[in-house]
Amino acid sequence: MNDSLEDLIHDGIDQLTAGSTLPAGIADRARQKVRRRRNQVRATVAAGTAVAAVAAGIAVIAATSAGSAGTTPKTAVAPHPAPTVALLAKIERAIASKAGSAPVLQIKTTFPAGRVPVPPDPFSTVQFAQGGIARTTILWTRGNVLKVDWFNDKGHIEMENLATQKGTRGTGTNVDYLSRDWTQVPLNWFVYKKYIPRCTVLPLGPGEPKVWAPRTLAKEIKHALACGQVKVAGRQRVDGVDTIELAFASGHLKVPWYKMGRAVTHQTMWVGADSYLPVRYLSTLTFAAAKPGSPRSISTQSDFQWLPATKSALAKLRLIIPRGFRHDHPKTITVHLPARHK
Amino acid sequence: MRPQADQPDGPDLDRLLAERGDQLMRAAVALAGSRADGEDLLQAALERLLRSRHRVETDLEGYLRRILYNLAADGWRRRAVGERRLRLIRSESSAADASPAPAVDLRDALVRLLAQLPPRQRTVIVLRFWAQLSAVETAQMLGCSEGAIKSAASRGLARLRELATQWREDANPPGRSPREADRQSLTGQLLEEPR
Repeated sequence: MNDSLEDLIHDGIDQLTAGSTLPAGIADRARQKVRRRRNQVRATVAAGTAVAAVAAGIAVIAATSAGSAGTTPKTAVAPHPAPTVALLAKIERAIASKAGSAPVLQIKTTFPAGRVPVPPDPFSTVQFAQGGIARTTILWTRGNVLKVDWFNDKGHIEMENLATQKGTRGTGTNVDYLSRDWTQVPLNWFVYKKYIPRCTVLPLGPGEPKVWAPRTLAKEIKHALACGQVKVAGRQRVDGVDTIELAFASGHLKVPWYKMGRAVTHQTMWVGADSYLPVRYLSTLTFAAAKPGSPRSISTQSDFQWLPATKSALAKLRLIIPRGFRHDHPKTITVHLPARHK
Repeated sequence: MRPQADQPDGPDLDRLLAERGDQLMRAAVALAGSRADGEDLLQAALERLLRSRHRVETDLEGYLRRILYNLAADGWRRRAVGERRLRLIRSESSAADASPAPAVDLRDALVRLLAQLPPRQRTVIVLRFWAQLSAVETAQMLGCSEGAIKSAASRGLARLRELATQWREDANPPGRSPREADRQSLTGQLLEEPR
């Protein structure tokens, strides 16, 4: 008989595991659980889709939050004239004025092609955008309603999400065109009393519909501009619109789920030269330690449209369950907002 | 036209489980310490595999094993360690009394005591001394340095010796039977630090 501790351990484990066979149906149970979990996450809509819609935007928030907490960006954009007080005031006023008219804000976001690392749960929804399936999301928001449609690179719709919020309660509805099922769950919004805008351009983090409302956007942009980390980079035509290009100081941040070390962020926003409303936002993360097979740089572009609250625009905020789709019944979940909202 | 439904996994996983499922289950039981927990651990690993399907490019089994080992090392399930320790020691004492072979008792006890180690140490011990992986291979599996593996293995073995000594003392109250005395003697002999 063996007389070393290592051998005893080996024999003991051999004895313990002897006769262990794979339980029947374990793979099916795992599949079922993943499917259920996926539907739960998808149904959270704002918690997931807002993240997915602007995955890189989260990083931007992280960067700017870090900046506001005292982290000085190590690199800065090339010297450009700072926007004048008058220009900043015009942008703030334009957004605030637009928000006051209760438009439907549409944000179309395009993700980079190819595989990029995906964050772990509860942000697994990002996988649909970042894992090589969905390439484009279109988000519409007005008041306490948030709707997001997901499209693959061929332009086929893959998923529709709708989230509503009233106080701490709401409903999340998800239609999945891939698995042809739909989910509706009550959402318990974990709403923090104090909302703290950071030195960021957009409220691109996960959050409740309110966070995405134009009014909040106005607040965020105002705050970002007030942070003084923005420079006027010049004039440019974007989709036929004459715009002013605003470059934000680059920063360093760590996005835990990318697991590629720290990234350098570059953010640019174009505002209409006449309207002073945001037209486009581009966020780029560049990783110094990108893994093989992963892109070194991840860029996310968001295009803004401020739609008057017409019938057709309001229809964008409705979700119709297609006929023949199976109704899945996940449990109620609680959506916890990120630390940024604490 | 709608896109075709994207299955969470293809036939590859079913094939893998059909061919290698029992071995994977054994590994899961070894890491978790019991069949019931092993089943839970393996299912958790399968779920994670299914969720991360886009990242799996080759060697499905290797990927699944890596998930399995890392889940175990990360303490995939938190438990009331104190309660479990107490229960283990008690059940071990009673089991030892009923066992006819002291050496078998000790093997069984070591496996139970193994469950008391921190997850990472336990996983390293299982990989090194049961799965017979080298320190380098274990380090690659768990994504840490070789030194960290050696350190964890050393600390784990040392802790096992401590626990075994404690187990021996707990199992031998005053007025022990002759068979228990034999067991203690054998245990002491086997658990001596190598000179």
